This record gives sequence, structure tokens and C-alpha cells, in this order.
Amino acid sequence: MNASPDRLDLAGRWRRYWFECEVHPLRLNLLRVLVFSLLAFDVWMLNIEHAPRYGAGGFNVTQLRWLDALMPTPHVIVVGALWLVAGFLALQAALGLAVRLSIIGACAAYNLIYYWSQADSYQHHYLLGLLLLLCVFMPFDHPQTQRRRPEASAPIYSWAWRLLKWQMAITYFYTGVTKWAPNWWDGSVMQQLTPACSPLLDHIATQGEILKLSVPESWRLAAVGVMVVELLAPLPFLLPKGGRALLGVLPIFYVFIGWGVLGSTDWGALIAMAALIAAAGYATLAYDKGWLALGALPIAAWLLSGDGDVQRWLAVFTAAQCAAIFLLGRLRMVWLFGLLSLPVFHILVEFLNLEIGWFSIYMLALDFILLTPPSLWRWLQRGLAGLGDRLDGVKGWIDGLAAPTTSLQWMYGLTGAIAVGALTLALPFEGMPWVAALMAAAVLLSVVGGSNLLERRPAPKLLAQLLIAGAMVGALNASAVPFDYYRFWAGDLKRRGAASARAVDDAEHRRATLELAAEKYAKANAVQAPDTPARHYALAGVLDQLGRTDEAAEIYAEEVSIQKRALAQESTATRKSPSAEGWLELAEHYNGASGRMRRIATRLNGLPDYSEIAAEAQQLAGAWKVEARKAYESLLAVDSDAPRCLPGASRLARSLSR
Amino acid sequence: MRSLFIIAFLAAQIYLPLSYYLKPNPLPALLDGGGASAPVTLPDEADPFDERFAWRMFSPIRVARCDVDLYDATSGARQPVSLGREIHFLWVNLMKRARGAVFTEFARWRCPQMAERSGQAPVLQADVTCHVSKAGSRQTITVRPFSPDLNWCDPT
Repeated sequence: MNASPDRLDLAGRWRRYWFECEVHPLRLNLLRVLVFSLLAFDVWMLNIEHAPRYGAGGFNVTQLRWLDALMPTPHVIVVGALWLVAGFLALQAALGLAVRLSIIGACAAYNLIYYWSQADSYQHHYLLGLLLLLCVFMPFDHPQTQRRRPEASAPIYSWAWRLLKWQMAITYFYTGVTKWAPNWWDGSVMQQLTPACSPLLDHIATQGEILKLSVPESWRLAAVGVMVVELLAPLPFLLPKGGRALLGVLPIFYVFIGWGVLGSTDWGALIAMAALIAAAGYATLAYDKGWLALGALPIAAWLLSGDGDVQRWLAVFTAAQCAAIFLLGRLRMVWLFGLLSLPVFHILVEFLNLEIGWFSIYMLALDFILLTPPSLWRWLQRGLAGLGDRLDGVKGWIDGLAAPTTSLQWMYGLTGAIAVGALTLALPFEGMPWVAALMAAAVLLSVVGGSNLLERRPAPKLLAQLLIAGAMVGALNASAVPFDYYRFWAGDLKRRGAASARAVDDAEHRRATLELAAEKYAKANAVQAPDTPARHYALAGVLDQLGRTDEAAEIYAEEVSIQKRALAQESTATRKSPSAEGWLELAEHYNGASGRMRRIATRLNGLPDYSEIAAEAQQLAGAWKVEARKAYESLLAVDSDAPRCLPGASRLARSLSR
Repeated sequence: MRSLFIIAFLAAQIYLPLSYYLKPNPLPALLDGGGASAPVTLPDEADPFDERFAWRMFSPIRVARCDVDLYDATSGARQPVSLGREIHFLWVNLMKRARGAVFTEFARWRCPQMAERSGQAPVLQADVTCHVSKAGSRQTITVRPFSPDLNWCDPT
């Protein structure tokens, strides 16, 4: 007897579910390109400046208790090197160079740093680490991914793809479980998370007006709504086309919400509602016009729910979600529920201005790639195939290149390694020779290994690697990352080098720490343009503590002229294109500089060589306080809500009133 | 082998967040109920403030604020420890989120220094009080994640 697909035994079902999970090649390609290009710039632009916090002062706590005994204290150079190399390998993977090897390397480096220290406690970095681990097992280098018109008869199967969907479902579900708490349901936590003057406040007020709810009730509806959708989020990932399982899941879900969140103990009403949901769901899935029954669910929820308008709206909202999922299930489009609702959270998080790096972008990309239907990818493939035909010249050029002998390939590899290593040396971070050596090794390995379009065509591979290294060096040197890297490092050293700091008060150790702080401040200043304020004043302060008073006095004197130039430029620019943020920044800078000038005047007072500068600093301290007040008034003229809405404005107002 | 990996991965991903909820945690009851006006010290095995690996993004615990004071009580008198001058500020911030592992490691790192300086058995105490919002009101409850009398140099 033939075993039909529906009559497979448990092992057969398991095999079919995990190992016959089909993925469109374009989906795989887009996942690789998006995730790994984002990762490269993420680690370079957001992580590297934090490398100096790893192992600072010889203290560290790993993510897993047993690792504390095994791992040495991390070091800034090692962490910085691993991130730089991880970014390089990630961009190699995104561009299709030595894909498998690059992904393994990027995954290992990223996860090593994450688990090595709780210095990085962001949960989304943990998620990214898991995503990278799953990417190691994805068939990114499958021959079909490189065909312009993949053969339908040879589909790509990937259990890691299925597992990634499970991972997303689990993550969203538990974020919903997190909110299973009375102080989430009443909206107070959501309110606490929302910054003053956020546009979300207006949305909440409008929602309240429409539904005739008070503002706290409107918050409650929003908070519970977020939780309900998060708890339902696994469905689009795990049952994208719906199915009979919905008949079990959704009624139970409603009872849970009714009992837990709505506080209903009217079990008769809850069971009646669950039975109605199941019946309407069954009618929808089984009968042509059955979906008409879904309209009854919100009405029944309204009638059966407890007292109070917000209770009723919450019941209606939950019932409407169940109805929407059944309807989408009928259309075999449950994926659309996720595609429409989940991005709202990530956009909301951006609205709330929560500092979670590029997490929203990763999640939006993943939601799109994982939830969109196969038909979209087939359509995209057809469109892109036509576009690809126009690039035949490039492919022809690559194909036409002679496959080199092994020795020639090694020569290309060595040339690339030296060139990329040399480029890396142009980065201004600590320990660059080590990083250059690591980069060179990565380049060599990826020339020797790899299976992709460019396999055994090392010339374009070499060109691409040089482009990646150029992008890394260019992006980092043009950014504020090197300045932040050194100023954060110096700031920590300065704090820890302050007097009477350690349990064992070791003057020599303190001095060495301050010397290091001075060195890092000097480097922070060196990576900035010469006439920017940078950290000259802080450097002079450290030199003073070290007793290097002559050097300190000279830098204080320089600071006066640097600040004069910088503030004059900033003032002109702000007046030319005024904005609330611009005026606030200018007022803060004038106010800060005024304080520094006062201290410089005191410090240089009595030094014969600096008497004129001391007098000038004294005069500037007063004049800039006035300028700060004027800039603050201009801020209020542009935005009278600024003290309430702009972070830092009220603090500045207090400082100026003193 | 692949099946084993899948099972292990899924089991870990389901169990790790679940383990957060399986630990004893009196906080929800305190937040939901009348709540005590005096600070409540949590039992030793409770660790509701460590939300790593539990996907507790934007949780009610995350918005809790803790005050942290550490004392060197080796000599009998309590001398305040200036945390910001000893370790990187990020660790101080994690202590302000009542991360037990950071206190444990800090003690492991600092206690030998204290013993070396004083020649006595070191005593390091932490006074940590956290303020968590109560539902349905603007009130907060105050909890102590760790006993203030606990000597972190010798937690047994």
C-alpha cells in the first residue's frame, strides 16, 4: 500500500516537516544580503566604540556563570579586532564571497564576544547571535541560489529555515508572555516607556476620543492590544496557511485573555464565547459562506464581556483578532496577519525612541522575508531574471576569465591579504597590526575556500575584498566612531584613576591609569579636526592631576581659542538654518564653554605667561553665559514646548537660572 | 544528528525563557495585591531582575529603578564603596538593575583586595532597593533583591 503524505508515521511527518521545508532561492539570497550587510555596518558603526569597556579595570562578568572560570578577562584589542573581522566577513558573505566560511567566522566572532561579557546585555544581540548560528546551516551556497531561473524540479530544502521561523515565533510569543502582568495591562509601563511629547501620545488620545475612553483607558487598550498581537504572533510563522489547529488555539486563547486580562470569572460567558469562536471558525474553514459567521464574534464579545467600556473594547479587540485570523485562514493567508501587525511594533519602538540600535530594521527585514508568500518570490524572480539578462556582459566577463592554477590562486590570495591588511592599518584603533594580520588570514582563507559564482575566478574576488576593506576603512574614518572609542575609553580611565579610588590604594597604579587616560584623550583629539573642541579640556584636567601643569596650562590656553572659533562657527550655522534642536545644542555648548572658561581663568590666574588669556577666559565666561541665555530664548521662540519635550532642555533651563 | 540539533535548539529556546517563570518570584503578587509599605526582601533563590535569555523586552521589571550602595564592613564600621571609581560605569548600571551575577563577580574580584589591605576576613555588603510600579496606581513598591546583611565575600 502506498503511504500517502497524510498517512506518514511520526518519523515520516518529522522528516517532511523539517527536511522537506522548501525555500525559494531568492528568499535565501535576500536574507543573506540584508542580514549580513546590516551586521557588517552594525558592528562597525555601533559596536566598536564600546570595545574599551570590555575588560576595563580587569573586571568582567560573562553571560554564563561557568564561563567565568574558563574565560580570561576580555581585552579591548581582542574585542575590537573580532568585531572588525566579523564585519569584514559579514560583508563578504553578503556579497557572495566564500559564503559558508565567512558566515561561520562572523557567527563565531559575534557570539564569542556576546557570551564573553555581560557588557553587552541587549536581548536583540542575543537574538542576532542565534540568527547567525542558524545561518551557518542555511544552504546559501546551493547552486540554485546562483541561477537566474532556478529549476522548479530541484527545490532547495532547509531545516534551518524552518528553525528560524520557530525562533521568531518563540521570541514574539515570550515577549507577549512578558506583558502578562497587571502593571502592563493597565498601560502604566507603556506610559513610562513613552517619552514626553511623543507622537504616540496624540494617537492614544485620538483613539480614546473615537472609542469614548478616558486617556488611561485608551492606554490600557493599547497595552493589552500589543500583548494580544504578540501572543498570536507565532501563528503566521508556524501556520502561515492556517489549518484546523486554529480551531483549538484561538478559543483557548480567548478564554485565557478573558480570564487573565479582563478579569472575568463568569465562566459561563467565557465558555459560551469560546464555543462561538470555535463554531464560527469551523464554519469559516469548512463552508463557502461560513466566514459570514465571523461578524458575530465581536458583537458576542461585546454582549458577553463584563462591565466598563474598556473591558468591552478589549473583548471586542481580542475577538476581532480571532475573527481576522480565521478569515485569513480561510484564504490560506494567515501570514498576512503577521505581515500587517508585527511591523507595527517595530515602528512603534522607533516612535518611542528606545535605544536598541538597528534591531527594528533587522526584524522588519526578517518579518518580510519569512512571512511573504512563495508566489511573491516567484514573481520577483521572473522580474529579476529579466534584469539579470542585461548583466550578461558582467557574468560573461567573469566566466570568460581563465580558471587559474592553484599557485596563481595563492598568489591572488597573498596579494589580497597584503592589500587588505595594509588598508586595515589605516584604521585609527588600537592593535591594528593584529587586526591587519587577522584580516589577511581571513582573505587568504576565503580565496582558498568558497563555493560561489566567483569560485576559481580570484580577480573579481580580490576586487570585491578590496572594496569591502575600503568600505570599512572609509566608513569608520568618516564617522565619529574613532573619536567616541577614545573618549569613552579615556573617560573611564579618568574616573578610575581618580584619587582614593581603589580598595588597595596604589598610587603607582593610579598614576599609570591617569597616564593612560591622558594618552587616550590625546588620541581622541588627534582623530578630530584640529580646530574642534574635542577633549582638550579633559586632557588638560588629567595632566593637571598628573602634575604636568605646564603642559596642562598650554592646552587650557589652546582651548580658549579653539572654543572661540568653534562657537562662532556653530552660532553662524544655527542662525542660518534655525531649528529647536540647533538652538538647544548651541545654548548647551555656550553654557558648557562658559563654565570651562571660568575654571580656566581660575587655573591660569597668576601664571605670568598666561595672564592675558586668563583675563580673556574670564571675560568669555560671562559673555557666553549671556549667549547661552539668548540661544535658549531663541529655542523657546521656535518651540515653546521645548522644556517639556526636548531632552536636556529643562536641565539647561535650571543651569541657566543659577 | 540534524534532528538532535533541532530538538536541542528548540528545547533550549523554549526552556530558557520558561525557567525565568519557573523560579519563585513574589513580585507579581506584591504588585497585584495590597503590597507592603516597608521594603520587602526577596528570597535568595528569586532572581526576577535577571531577564537575560527570557525575551522580556520592555518588561515591567525593565522600568524598575534601583538604588545601590555598597559597603566595606571589614573593620565593623560600614565604609561606602565608590563603585564608579573602581569599575566601568556599565557594571554600576547593571548593579542598578539588580543583576546578582555582577555583585557575585564584583565580590570575587574585590574581596581579595580588601583582605590584602586589612589582613582580616573581608566583609562586603550591598544595600539594594528597587522601586517597581504598582498596577492601577502611581504608587511603587520597594523591594530588596538581596538581604542587606549578606556578606558577598562569604555568601554561605
